[in-house]
Amino acid sequence: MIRYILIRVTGCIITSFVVVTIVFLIMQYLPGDPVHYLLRGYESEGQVEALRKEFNLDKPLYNQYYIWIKGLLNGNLGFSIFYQKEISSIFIPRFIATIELISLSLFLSIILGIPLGIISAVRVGSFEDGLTGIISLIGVSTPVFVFGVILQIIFCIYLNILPTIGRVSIFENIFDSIKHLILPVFSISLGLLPYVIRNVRSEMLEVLKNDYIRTGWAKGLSPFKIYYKHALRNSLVGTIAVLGINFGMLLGGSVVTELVFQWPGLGTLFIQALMSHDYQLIQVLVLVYALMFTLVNLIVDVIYSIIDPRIALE
Amino acid sequence: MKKLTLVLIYCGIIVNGLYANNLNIGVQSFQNIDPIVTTGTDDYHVISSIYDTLIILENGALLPQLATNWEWLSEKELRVQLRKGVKWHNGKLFSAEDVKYTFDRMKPYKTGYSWFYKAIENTTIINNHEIVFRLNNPDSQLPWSLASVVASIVPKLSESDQIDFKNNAIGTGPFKFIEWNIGEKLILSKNSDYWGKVSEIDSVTFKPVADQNARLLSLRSGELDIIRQVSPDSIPQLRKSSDFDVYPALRHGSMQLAFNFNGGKWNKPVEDPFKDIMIRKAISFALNYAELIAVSGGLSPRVYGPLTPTLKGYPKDERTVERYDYNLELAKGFMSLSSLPNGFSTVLMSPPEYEREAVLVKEHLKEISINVELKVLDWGAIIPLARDPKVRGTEFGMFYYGRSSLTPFPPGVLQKNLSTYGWKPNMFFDVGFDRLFGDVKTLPIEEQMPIYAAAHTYAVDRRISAWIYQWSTSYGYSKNKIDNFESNEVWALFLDMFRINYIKLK
Repeated sequence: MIRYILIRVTGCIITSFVVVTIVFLIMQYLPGDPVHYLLRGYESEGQVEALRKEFNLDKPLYNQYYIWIKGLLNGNLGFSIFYQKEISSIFIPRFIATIELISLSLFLSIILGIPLGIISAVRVGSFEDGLTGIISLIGVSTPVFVFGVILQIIFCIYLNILPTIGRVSIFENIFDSIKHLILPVFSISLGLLPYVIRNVRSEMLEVLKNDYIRTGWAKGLSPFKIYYKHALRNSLVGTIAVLGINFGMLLGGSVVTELVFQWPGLGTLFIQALMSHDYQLIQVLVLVYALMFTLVNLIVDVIYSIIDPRIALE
Repeated sequence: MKKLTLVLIYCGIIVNGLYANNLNIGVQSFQNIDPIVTTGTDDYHVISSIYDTLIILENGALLPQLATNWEWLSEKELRVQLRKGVKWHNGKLFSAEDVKYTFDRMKPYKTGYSWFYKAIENTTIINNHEIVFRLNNPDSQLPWSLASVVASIVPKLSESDQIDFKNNAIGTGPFKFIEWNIGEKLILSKNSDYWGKVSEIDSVTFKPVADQNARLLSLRSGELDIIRQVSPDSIPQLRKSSDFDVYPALRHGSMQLAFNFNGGKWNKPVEDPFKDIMIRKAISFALNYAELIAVSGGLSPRVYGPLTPTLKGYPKDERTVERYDYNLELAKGFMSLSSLPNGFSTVLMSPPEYEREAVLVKEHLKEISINVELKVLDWGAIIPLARDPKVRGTEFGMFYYGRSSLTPFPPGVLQKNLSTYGWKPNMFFDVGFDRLFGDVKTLPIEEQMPIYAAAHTYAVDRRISAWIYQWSTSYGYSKNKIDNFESNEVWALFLDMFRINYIKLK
């Protein structure tokens, strides 16, 4: 198991670096220049060239790449041209904010999605099943930027009970922090919820047809034991796969959600970095996104084997 | 239990009292708050609230701030007397050492807009409250330059007290820096010991909100009291509302449709159409300026040349400058007299923020048989196209953009239109202008004025560009919270800013 994980982690790192290298090359060929974006034409003679030299932009491509990788291996994420600061000082608080948003959204989707999926599987064709179907349809078909703005108009403008934008740290004011989290977390969760519900529902329906479930009923087991102990555990393998695959969607979706709710996470930072052609910052963000995506896939594989020991990692 | 309740009530009153007059301002984004490193307008709002400059420019006049008096000792030497008894936010006394440090640390003038002070050779401390600026070349505009927010005076700190000016600040200004949670908020609190008029606002919270719609929603929900850059669509809506209004902060510059005089890839096989004044005049009459101003939000006044009425040297008698307004018949007439009476194709370049206006320009020019291909690129991509000698202007025929002067003096905007200095989108080079502007700063201020007025007339007569409206930035604000925004018009040199400590609350 440990050998398998080590091999996969190495694979994750290699994949991420390949992605970063491709992005690095693409960025160089896109029109635009970070120094020009910074000064916007209000420059003195020779200033652009001096700054390009300071940021190593005058060096050949392989040299720029080498300097950045060398820094990275020494724990230096690089320097942001737009912010004129070390990337680590900008990146870490943003990373924490994004992880907070994503993990809570994931948690909410799971705790709402699994029971709703079970209910609609157990009561196929009932009112509850129809209702979860409608919720799923709304979730799948409404983009975050539409749903988020609708929520803002209802809860922030008309009812005026929740804040429209921003984030408050949990250490600063816990109630305020929760108030700021409600709408963005709910918006992201609504996008993920249908996948969880539909998956749990279909897997449960399959499992419930099995002989061992019929045996359970014959033995006189309580419905709770049958649904939660015997059926659910076997249904979760597919759901975890769906969550793993959708983690990428969650990362991508969080960029839009962060923009709508001005959540100070990696998504809004990414947009600013792209707009200002901040090469090193873009590279760091792509690397982090790639690492997060590949590592989550690895975690999903490991969880498979824990839930269902029949699935061998090797 | 009763005692505990009372203590809690008192604490509540104290906390409420501390933040009773809090102002929440929504900005686009922050870079850093070092006056000589940053180039972000939003950062300058913070900087101008924390720091003071030696001189301040208010409604066109120079007034003392940290300097009490200044006089020219010679063409290249300016003696400045400094205010006594001013304290830094850390309690230490302000002195000439701090002023010297401020200008010394700008060298070698690589970062941000520090190059603006390149003319200062050195500063010499006469005593604790007197300093002399020595210049490389005569520059009669120096006192105006010293009023720029870039020249905010920073403290000379001892080794043990050093701070990173990009993330932290100690100033002498009306507000103290409290904290900055990157991406979340930046908080300032009132400096009750301020040497000048103490602000009635207790604390200011700046929130970076990059998205225009999110900023607007937050203003409407009451989370923000002021927002910078209202989307043009929302301006009429906010102005009609009884709860909100929009304040247009005018800039020292104009929006313009610049013509590229350097024939390039874009116009082959036609030879440089914009060298023909008839074509340039035809375009200037074909543009529907009222429509363009309406699309931009309808707040900006119409201008006819590179100088705006707020700039020094603007012609006293406006009648001496030709006025051109929308007149399709006249436009078609000029076109028929031009070298290309049947029209031609060209490329119009625009930054994304003016795309809607550029689309209108495209439609207007269709009326005089000019077929326009629109290219929307951000500033980081546009400037190399106009600046790089290898591609200099070969990619576009016209450029829709706004430029403002770095000072209330017009050389900045005139150079961008007329001289060979630096990068310029119209590629119109006039060596005569170089000579004129090379020396203009050495002349006494009064003698500079007719030169600027003549340059303005020259540019309009030749239609180097079609100038559209005075560039401005819109600030949306809540009328329920803010009593007086209008009288708060203070020029902070090249910035369309307001001073927060001048705002009157309801």
